[in-house]
Amino acid sequence: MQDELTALIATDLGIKNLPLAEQQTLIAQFGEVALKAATLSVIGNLVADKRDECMKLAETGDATALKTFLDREVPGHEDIAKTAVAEEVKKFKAFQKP
Amino acid sequence: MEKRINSSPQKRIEPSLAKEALTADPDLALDSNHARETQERTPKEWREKLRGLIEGAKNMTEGVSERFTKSKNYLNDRAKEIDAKAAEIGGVEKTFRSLGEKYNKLSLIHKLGVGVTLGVGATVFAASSPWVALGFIGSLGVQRAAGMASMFLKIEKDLQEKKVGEKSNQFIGRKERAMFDAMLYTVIMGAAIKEGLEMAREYDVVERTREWLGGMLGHNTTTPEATPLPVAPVPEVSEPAAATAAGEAIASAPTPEMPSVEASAGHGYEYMVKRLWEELQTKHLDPSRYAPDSDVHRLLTTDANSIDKVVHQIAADSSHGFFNADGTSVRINLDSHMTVNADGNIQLDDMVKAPEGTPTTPPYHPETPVLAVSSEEAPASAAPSPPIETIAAGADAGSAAPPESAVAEQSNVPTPNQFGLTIPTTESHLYADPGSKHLFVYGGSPAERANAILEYLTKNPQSVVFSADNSGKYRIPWYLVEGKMTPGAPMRTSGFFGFFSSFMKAPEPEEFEKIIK
Repeated sequence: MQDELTALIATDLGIKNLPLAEQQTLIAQFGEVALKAATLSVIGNLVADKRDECMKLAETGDATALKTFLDREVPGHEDIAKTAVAEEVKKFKAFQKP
Repeated sequence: MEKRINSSPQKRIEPSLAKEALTADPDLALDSNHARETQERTPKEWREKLRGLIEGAKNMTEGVSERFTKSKNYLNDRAKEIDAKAAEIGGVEKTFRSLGEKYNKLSLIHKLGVGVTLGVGATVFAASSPWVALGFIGSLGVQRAAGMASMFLKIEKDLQEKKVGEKSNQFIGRKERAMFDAMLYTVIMGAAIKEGLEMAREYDVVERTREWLGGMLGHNTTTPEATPLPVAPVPEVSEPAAATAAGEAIASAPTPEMPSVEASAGHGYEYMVKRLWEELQTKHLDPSRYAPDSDVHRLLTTDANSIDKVVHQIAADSSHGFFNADGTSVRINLDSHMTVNADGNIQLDDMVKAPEGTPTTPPYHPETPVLAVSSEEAPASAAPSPPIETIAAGADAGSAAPPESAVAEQSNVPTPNQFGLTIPTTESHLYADPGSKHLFVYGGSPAERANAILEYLTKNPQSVVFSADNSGKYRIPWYLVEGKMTPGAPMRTSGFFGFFSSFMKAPEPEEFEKIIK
């Protein structure tokens, strides 16, 4: 399972020719970048006075409330998050090119 | 050997041909060239060649290593850039720090899962089918986490109100869309990652996705270690177009042959009805072809979560009368068989309804719990609850013979498990998994296990204890219902909208983190 997932992601990130341990290290690091980028892109689309409310909801871990909140305050937030992750993949791949 | 070959004119190898044959072998040819080079090169040439080889290897290693180092630094810098942007926005630093800390505490497998769940790596499947890609991602976020399950229901309701996902040209149905949204946002905020990934690892999501994909494309993909499922999973068709096509196919198909279930020792009417239901799942029948009040319609429209209840209702229904209000059940003869008749009703031999005066088994008494009874001892009964319907009323726990397969399953566990816990197979104990989310009974004789379950449930009536079923292969829950120790149906994995669903394996020592009793 672990190797399967590594292979899947390494292919997307263009690091398949690196040793397995290095692939996994980079993927682990990339995950944090992707997670933060997706979150930030959604939060960045919130008006200032709503961010605090959003953060409080995120802290409670109530995903339903958070989703309801974002549906109302950030239309199209799903696409925003997905685009942010795709953008990070693109940037990382571009960096890989000699 | 040499003589024998040479004695046959057809197999004789001439000296010149033998030489060509040798040099035609690449490895041998290399050896040959190597020998020639060794003889022809001067020591100086050798040193230069060696230096070249070493430098080439060094450059190659440094190239890869340099790329890794640069990439690592890039990602470090990128993470800092995003943190800085978060600081610029203001008011979100704390959440960001918390998000990073949560992520960094995850194991590698979970970090890999975050990547795939966020969409990185999913394109491998997306190239073949967007739906499969979606299914793959969704499976990683299996709705095991309570928060995610409730979120899924809410989102699905929202989508329903908005009439999203109902048009046939939308490849993402409402359920899939809801699941995707629930998964995405639950994962983004750091919840359910661990749960989802554990499920993915436990049930070989990758392998099963490939297996399913291979079937859909009409060829088999390589699944060397794929475990055969006890019951073939039945896809839930949510696409309107697909449903229509399936409906048309069924409508034009000849009347299908109804399954037949044979009686077996220790198993009763309800057990047989449930096996019938399982068989029906593989027939892909259209419920609308049967009368709404018929048994077959009820079975075809019942899912795994409610089948036990429906089975019991059918048995207790006055039109059948195999389970009586006083708790007694009609005994089933071992040569009986069950099927669905032309009216769509369940029929045992030639009886839809149990005749008056048919011998019954007494009701189950909780004070004599038994996990299993040998086939010689157990009467075929109509006692409720599959497949541990072998709990014979009034049977003595101490006389119960352990199922051979269960014994085999629970042997050879001499070394400590991943949590450093040594699990004895000869003693019955209660164990808890990490986080004490589930309780299990393991080891000892069936009677000892039954007593351990009963003792615990009596003191903790709201708890559920899991154990192996009669076969020793599958996992069943035990509850205390009205003071009676009652087994539930074998646990199934939730799968993804009906795909990849299978029976859960019996509890294994590797799952136990601590001993409870």
